[in-house]
Amino acid sequence: MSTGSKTSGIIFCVAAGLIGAGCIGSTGGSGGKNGNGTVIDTGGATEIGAVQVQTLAGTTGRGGTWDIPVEIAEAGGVFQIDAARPDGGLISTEFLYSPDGDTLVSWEDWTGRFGLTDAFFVNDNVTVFSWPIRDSDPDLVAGEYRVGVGAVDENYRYEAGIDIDVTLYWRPHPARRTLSVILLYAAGLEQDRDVVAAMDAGVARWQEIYADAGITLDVRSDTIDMDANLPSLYRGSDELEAYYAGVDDLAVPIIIGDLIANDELLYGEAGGIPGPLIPSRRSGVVLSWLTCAGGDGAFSDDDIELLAETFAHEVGHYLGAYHPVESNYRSWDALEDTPACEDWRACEEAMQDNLMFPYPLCTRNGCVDQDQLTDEQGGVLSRFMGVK
Amino acid sequence: MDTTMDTATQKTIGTMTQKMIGRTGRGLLLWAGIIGAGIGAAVAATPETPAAATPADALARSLSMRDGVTCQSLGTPTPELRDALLSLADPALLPPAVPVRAAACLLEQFPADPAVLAAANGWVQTPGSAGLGLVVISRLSLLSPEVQQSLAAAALQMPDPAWKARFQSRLLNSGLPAVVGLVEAQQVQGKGK
Repeated sequence: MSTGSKTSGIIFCVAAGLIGAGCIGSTGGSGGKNGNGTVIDTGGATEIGAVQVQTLAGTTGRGGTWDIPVEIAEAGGVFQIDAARPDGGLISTEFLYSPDGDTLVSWEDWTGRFGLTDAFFVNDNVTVFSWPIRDSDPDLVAGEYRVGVGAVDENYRYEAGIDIDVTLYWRPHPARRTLSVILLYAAGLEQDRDVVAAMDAGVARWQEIYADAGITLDVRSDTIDMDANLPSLYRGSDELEAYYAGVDDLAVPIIIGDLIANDELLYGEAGGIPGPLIPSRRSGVVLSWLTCAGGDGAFSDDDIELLAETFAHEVGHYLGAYHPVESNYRSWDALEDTPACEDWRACEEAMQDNLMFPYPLCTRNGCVDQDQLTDEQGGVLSRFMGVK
Repeated sequence: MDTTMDTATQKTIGTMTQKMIGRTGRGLLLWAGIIGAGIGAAVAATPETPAAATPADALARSLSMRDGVTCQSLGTPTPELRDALLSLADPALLPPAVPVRAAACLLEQFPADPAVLAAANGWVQTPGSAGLGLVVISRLSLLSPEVQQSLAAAALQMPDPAWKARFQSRLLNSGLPAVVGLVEAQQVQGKGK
């Protein structure tokens, strides 16, 4: 691990001399395309394996936005920013500008019928944006990208002078693709032998599913002091944020409980598409063992398969994948190799075995295995910063 | 984007007005923070009902969704809905979320219905429907105090030791004083034997 500092206008490279890889940083100063926002502080820099990490802080300008400068020193790889408002207010990503000043992505193009990233939605005090997302997105080039973020109040009016903490991540395309996950048992469930045995079996099957996409899972387990009825991550969890503050390897926590968000009884829920890598109230995934086990509360072979697919599906969201079609059949992901079908019959025919399909397809005799990813879906998952 | 407005000046068309909130990791789209001209297009999460499906099939499909459904979205709490949900609260049905959600919606939508409470009483005492029994325990706060105690007492009669232990721990954490007292009294009684 190396650390360093930065002066305004000078690219800061994290241990570039040691690893010969790209570097990230902020040129600070005048801000972005519209002169929005200001870098007010640059923090430390670290490495997590091949991932280079730097923190910085800034403030929104008069228009309520800050164009965060992201310096890419070496072409290729992927970057991610996790931008958080310490005051708990709302923030979202709005634009990505290339080093040439072109608008590469605008939120206005991606809040309708096609889903590219949650970053464009005003959800919370954290916004997570990564680039490139799809196979078809242009490779990173050396130079200064800028990511425009906006701070708004509860009435969605822009707010000037708002402090924002940013963590920048960059990594090259990895030779090995390993994702670390932590199974977090809530409410003493780690002592429930039947539940633990089912989770072990489900994880083993999940490892097979992700291996087909070229991703190796490194799984460990822990406990968390939380009620068995888990909170919805739409609202978030203070306990999860506190736990994740102690995780230093970009692992994805998955909290196992009886049920989730008592009003909808979800199988599972991810904290974002993609999810944060900084400690936040949404830094993880929650999963209901009971909704996967069913009315008898015992895991059949079908239930184990569904459990495995739920792990893979929800973590798939966390890694950046959308449903190929939403359950209204009127909105879709942004990928080119998932068809934009428009009714249940066509969608089930085309994608019933797809891991990210919005619902399981079952008869009384069993369910269709939903374990397939398209090449582009696999690409999205592989580009997640935590797959390293 | 207008960068010249004063702090907190309301943005209008083409800026934040279209932005939607709430696309969570389960893919749910909630509504926009519509201000100004209100030009955003809502994308509702309500599942389409297949034209060829029966009402029971459509209900089962709604209960299958990974995004989840609210019980209120299933329709007015009529006897027909109750009966349909009771038929779906069958532990053998797949996907497993269907019976779990059906049981939850029965308790939420029909908390005083004798047929529902009779079913719930059976779920908490039968190992083959113990998963639904756990749903009942998670929903006790929706029920009247008398029913809470009655169902808690029934749950403590669960013959399967592993399930009985699960029920006891959840009842102790229910935050319902009378229910907690019931469990504690049984534990004291057990130690005295």
